[in-house]
Amino acid sequence: MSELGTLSIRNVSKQYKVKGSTLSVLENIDLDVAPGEFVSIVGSSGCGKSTLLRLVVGLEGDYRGDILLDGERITGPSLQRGIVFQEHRLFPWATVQENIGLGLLNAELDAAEKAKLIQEHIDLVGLHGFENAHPHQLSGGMAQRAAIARGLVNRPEILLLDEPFGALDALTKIYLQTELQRIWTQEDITMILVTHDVEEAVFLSDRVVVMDARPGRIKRIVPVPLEHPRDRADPEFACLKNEVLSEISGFKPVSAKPALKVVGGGL
Amino acid sequence: MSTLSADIRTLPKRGFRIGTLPAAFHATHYRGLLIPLVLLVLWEVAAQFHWINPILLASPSIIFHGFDRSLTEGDLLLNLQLSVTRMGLGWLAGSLIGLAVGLAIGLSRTADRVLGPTLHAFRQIAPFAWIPLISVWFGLGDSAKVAFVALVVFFPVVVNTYEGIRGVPKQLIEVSRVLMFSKARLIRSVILPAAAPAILNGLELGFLYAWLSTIGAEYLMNATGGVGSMMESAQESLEMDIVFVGVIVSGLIGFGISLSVRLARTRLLHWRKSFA
Repeated sequence: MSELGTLSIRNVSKQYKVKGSTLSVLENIDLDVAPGEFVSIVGSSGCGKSTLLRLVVGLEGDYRGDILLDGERITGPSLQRGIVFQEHRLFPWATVQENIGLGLLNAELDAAEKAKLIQEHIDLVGLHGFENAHPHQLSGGMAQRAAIARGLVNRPEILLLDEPFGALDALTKIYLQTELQRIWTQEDITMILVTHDVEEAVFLSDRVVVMDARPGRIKRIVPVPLEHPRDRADPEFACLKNEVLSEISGFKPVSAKPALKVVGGGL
Repeated sequence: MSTLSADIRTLPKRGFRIGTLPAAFHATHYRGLLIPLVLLVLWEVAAQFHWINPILLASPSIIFHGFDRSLTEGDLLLNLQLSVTRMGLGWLAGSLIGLAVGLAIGLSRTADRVLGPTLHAFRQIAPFAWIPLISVWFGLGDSAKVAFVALVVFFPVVVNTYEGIRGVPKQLIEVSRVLMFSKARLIRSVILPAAAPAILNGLELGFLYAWLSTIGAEYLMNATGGVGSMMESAQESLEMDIVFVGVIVSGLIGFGISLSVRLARTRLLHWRKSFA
């Protein structure tokens, strides 16, 4: 499975028509993601990072350029690509088990294999014991775990995450970031994360893509050559975080004072 | 001040709590009965002392005898059976047609464009304005009454089904696209469950309207019995006790309908937080 999951974004542009005039959302995006790599996309609001992710998942079409997964142009959704949204988007009338099972509806497996996969993924995201809970009975963090399990249950080559922890409280967020890092290592699949949270991006990614707005384009790609699991209190971590922050337009770090920055990250 | 308000809040509960009875049976919930009981007593006293004309307003005790009379000598049970059957048939017909049309215009833009404007125009007609037409087309018998009930039930079912389907969150539709659901699967596994609360709302409203329209139809097309016709005939012959028996029976049936609908709703929509 690890040889599959190569994503190539070649010279991609996307425009919306708004009342006769055209609005350029993405311009000349080039990005290659290797199998098993973790790439984050950060940038200010309106930089088109979510649009880019929606193009990759196939929910938006009609773009110029090529988005290729293992050499094949993406024209619509496919079970090879899973997605987790900011809101959990679980079906409220279905239990955790049923929600994850709906992800497997189109898989060519028999019932026993499906049941096994569902249970494996419930265990993977740490929801053992909550199989029969309905979404309204889950906390935000647990619901997002279920959404991750649904995104992964088809064993996609690539998992796309659109600000998945954006609506969670700070502690749950840090906990789930660690969990996602474990799941990524365990499953060995390609992940692309869109986020506002620079620390989250640096904590999880091999590379952080910084995008700029109007029109959306890639400003810089910052590699994160730190070992996993990463220490948020590490000065090197803080330096990289500041480096990414300084690239985001509109943000001016007071001055590079990593010694002060680590205090907040010492969890 | 603070101790006073604390007392006000806690005293009634402590004072009247009875063992482990469920909340609905707590004495505090019976305070709503006070006004009806006082009125009932006043009514009876007023009748006993001839303050009111018994021909216009029968006393509670006379109405009670009227109940007994219409059960033993009259046809209360037969009338009730006729009315409930009409209501059931009308509701069933109106709901089925309403569901079918609502699904069609909810799921298909084309059907919506073709049928929508006509439906919205017909919806504006007051239901009872149909009675003269229906009695000409169907006569005054059972079929006319069932047709009228079906017509009244049809509109809330159509409208709520349509709105329910159109209101399915776009986010969930997107999930079904990502999971590669077929159109049939999308309808079965996403649209129908998501629209279920609204659809049930329509069926529930239809149920309440069905009873109202049954009584109305029987009253206005008095030919083949039923609680409404019983009331109309009693009114003609100034048997006010029987009129009141009709009022009470129709109220009780309405209450029973509301109650059963509420129970069904809680059971069917257990996944919704507000009903859990």
